[in-house]
Amino acid sequence: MALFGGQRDISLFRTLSRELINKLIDIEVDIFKSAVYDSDTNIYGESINKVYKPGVRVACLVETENQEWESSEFGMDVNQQIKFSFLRDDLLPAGSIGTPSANVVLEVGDTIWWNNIYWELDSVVENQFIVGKDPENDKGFISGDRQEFGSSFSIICSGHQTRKSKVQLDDIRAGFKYGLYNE
Amino acid sequence: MAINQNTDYTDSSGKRIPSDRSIHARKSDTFKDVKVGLYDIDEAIYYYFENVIQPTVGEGDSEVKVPLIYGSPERWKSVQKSGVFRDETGKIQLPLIMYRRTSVEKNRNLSRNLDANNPNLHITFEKQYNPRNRYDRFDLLVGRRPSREFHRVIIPDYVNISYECIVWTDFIEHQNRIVEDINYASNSYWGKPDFFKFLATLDSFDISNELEQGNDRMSKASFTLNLSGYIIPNNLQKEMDNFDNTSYGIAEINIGATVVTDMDNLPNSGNQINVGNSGVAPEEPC
Repeated sequence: MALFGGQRDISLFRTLSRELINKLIDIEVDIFKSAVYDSDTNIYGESINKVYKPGVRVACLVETENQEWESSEFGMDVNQQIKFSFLRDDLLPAGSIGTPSANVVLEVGDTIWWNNIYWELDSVVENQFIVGKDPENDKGFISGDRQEFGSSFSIICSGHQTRKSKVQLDDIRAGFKYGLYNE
Repeated sequence: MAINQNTDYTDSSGKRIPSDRSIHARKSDTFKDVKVGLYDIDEAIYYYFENVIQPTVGEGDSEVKVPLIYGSPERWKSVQKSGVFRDETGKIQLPLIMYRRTSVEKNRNLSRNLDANNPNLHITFEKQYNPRNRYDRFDLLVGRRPSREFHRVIIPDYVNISYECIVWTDFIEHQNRIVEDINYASNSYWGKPDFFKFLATLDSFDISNELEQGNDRMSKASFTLNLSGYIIPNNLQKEMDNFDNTSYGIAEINIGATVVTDMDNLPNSGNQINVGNSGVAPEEPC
């Protein structure tokens, strides 16, 4: 039987991490998940009129890379990569493990609003197991041979800055005339 | 034009240039020189896209007009003065159409075949209104033959101009609409109304749809637009040749003197007027 990584240890880690992320660092982002059953798609696999589920505000760690400016025939364009690190237990449904309980499952393609930018998730990584065990898939715990050890502790998502014209959550077509003829 | 052998001179090509400055002077000539430049042709495409084709896409409940830009603008213009298709961070918003000129090729099928140093082939046209023919009673009486105002324009350089155009959209469904609109407008004359127009043709669209890691999904349709254009430059060499690009026909007055023996038997000719020794036409009877 393992000596470390029991639920009392995990609870200590969770409490410290929650306090750190939610009360000390306190960076909040809004997660918008596509309402897949309400968004119609065409044969190209795209939805012109997207429907989203209500945004969920969650605290996390944010690491951004520098903006990358690219020059093309369309002029300068900017892109930026980002990494969101969530405490997995904060994303679980209410009643699972204390609060906060966002009740959201992050997936590739979800949209996150932070720093006045919409970010599209390119990858979702859940690979940080305390003492190398995830109780949901721990054979010994599932079979009842031992108690619950370890924890899947984080969900780390990387994404990029996406276009508001694609996300369609903001009205970006207002307030400016353009062209030589001010059409 | 009268030639004065003593004072006239010749230019480098051997053409005789009259020394009479009044022929060169264009103080009263308000007729604008005909000039068609590459800018006019580029602008014709812009105008046609913006005002005739007017590509639009559906976005929610509204129709969004697709902006058109000329390719590779200056950085400051691109970032600081292109707010209509950028968000606060400077990221380009779609859909967007870009065009840029990639080549200017001489059209040998319509070659003007002239020596630019001494072009002697012009198009001459007559201006309809000539202020020298303003109405007065003297014209009516003497049957003055009106002066005609002519303008000369050199034969233009005929060129084939190619443009690279790219339609960049978020969605293929948007791309479809834009491609349909442009395809419909091809093989027609593009340009402003009452201005120069140019035959625009295109043959094919190259479609690409890519999904790269770390970037948005990209749908692009690129095509080559071919314009049959013509250029009349506004340069000094052309001006040297065009010293007499405006000319007037001779206004002719026929005044005849007739001697009659019987005052009751005057000739009743429309062109012949009975005048006295002073050469002044008599007053019309009231």
